[in-house]
Amino acid sequence: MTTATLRDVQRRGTLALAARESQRVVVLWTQTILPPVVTALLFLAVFGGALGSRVGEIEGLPYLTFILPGLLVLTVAGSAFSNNSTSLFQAKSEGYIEDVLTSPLQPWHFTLAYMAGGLVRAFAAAAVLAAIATPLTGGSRTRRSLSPRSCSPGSFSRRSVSSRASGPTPSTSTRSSPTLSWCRSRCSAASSTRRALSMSPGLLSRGSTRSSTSLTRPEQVLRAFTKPLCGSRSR
Amino acid sequence: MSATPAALLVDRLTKVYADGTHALDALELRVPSGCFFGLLGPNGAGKTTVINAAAGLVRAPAEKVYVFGHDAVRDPRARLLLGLAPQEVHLDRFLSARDLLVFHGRFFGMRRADATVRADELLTVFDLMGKADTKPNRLSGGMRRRLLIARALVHRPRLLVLDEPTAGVDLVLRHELWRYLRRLHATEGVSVLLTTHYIEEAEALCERVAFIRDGQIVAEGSIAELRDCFGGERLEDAYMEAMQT
Repeated sequence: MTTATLRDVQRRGTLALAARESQRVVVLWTQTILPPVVTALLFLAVFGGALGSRVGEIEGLPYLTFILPGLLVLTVAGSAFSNNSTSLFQAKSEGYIEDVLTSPLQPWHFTLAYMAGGLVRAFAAAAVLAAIATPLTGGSRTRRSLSPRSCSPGSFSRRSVSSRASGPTPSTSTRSSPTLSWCRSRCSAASSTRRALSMSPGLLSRGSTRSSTSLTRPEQVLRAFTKPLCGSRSR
Repeated sequence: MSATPAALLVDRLTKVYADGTHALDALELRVPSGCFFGLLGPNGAGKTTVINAAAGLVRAPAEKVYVFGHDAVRDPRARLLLGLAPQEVHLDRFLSARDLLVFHGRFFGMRRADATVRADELLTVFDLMGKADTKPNRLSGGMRRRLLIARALVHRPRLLVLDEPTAGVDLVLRHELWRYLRRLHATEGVSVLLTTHYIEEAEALCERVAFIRDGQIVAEGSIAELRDCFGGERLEDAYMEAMQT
């Protein structure tokens, strides 16, 4: 057998393993696609539904619309990771991993094939989530927030920088390396979360003109918890 | 090495597991091409370690294990020539019996159409066609065992390694498996390495037999040669004698 033939064999084997992993994702959709979608929808319900009306608009977008792209990214990252880990460890603990370990595939072939399965799960879950959540969050604005331009790491960096600095957005942020952009997008996501949380007590304090008896029960509980944090603002 | 490479050649292989267990101690073994070879030994003697080293399931140093002249550690071609039916039955429970065979063939580079034809052929031979769309966890123990052996044969290996294939199998199925293995060996010229605790099985099937004890081969030869060497009328007597000396 020539090296070229062997490569062909390994290429077909890798595609077959990727196909098996993808098939597994589809067949076990109640275990692979449904849980991340339900989790993300719960996030939307809790943060978007319960807190969204109090947070108001962020970057000109309703809070629900603002957090949807982040939840989609969270779904993609979490699903891709958990699919690869569970699939690999299940095969190992149940012993049928020897089926592929005895094949002529090299470790990097396994890695590629398992990654393919993870990607299928991640994008399938994200697509289902986007299909369900987009109508809930309002069509055109969500489309704007989910547009490739607005979802790019550079865009997150720009928004983050412009929200922190009052001056014009530095154009260098879009020309930075992909790694740097990725790090910035993670930092901006964290800062957005901090900002959204820090706004809640403030909003509650603005609502403090209302008497405490006019607040609903959840608002009273939330206020009791956030009073130490927003006490100075309330005064 | 002779002109015709041995189906399996193990050259002074030593294997020590991480917990300090000395599984193999400079083991030397040669399974001639086209031979039905038996490897007999007590539990913990190192039979499965030898097999797993050849199949790539146990780490072994390079240039110690060869399958038809290909280094089992460095050369992926060795994997294509070897089919393994492990001792424990582990089958992917998310796939049907047919899909399991088809995917196995595809892992070894077969095209989907070829693998499907081969899978149906093996399902027929092993009397599993009626269960082709059934998941392995819904099959009986005997059926799962047959499916495991069928899986080892999908990619048409030149060396079939069977690690205690009839353990826990009823007598009727055991004789059916013997018949199939004899036919496979005779018609397709497949070399077979069989490990078993049933001495009568080795006596009925194997052309040559090796006794393994404490990670070393203590004797190797045809059944008649072993009987002559250790005395006794049956292979069982020779085996008992070899294990006690």
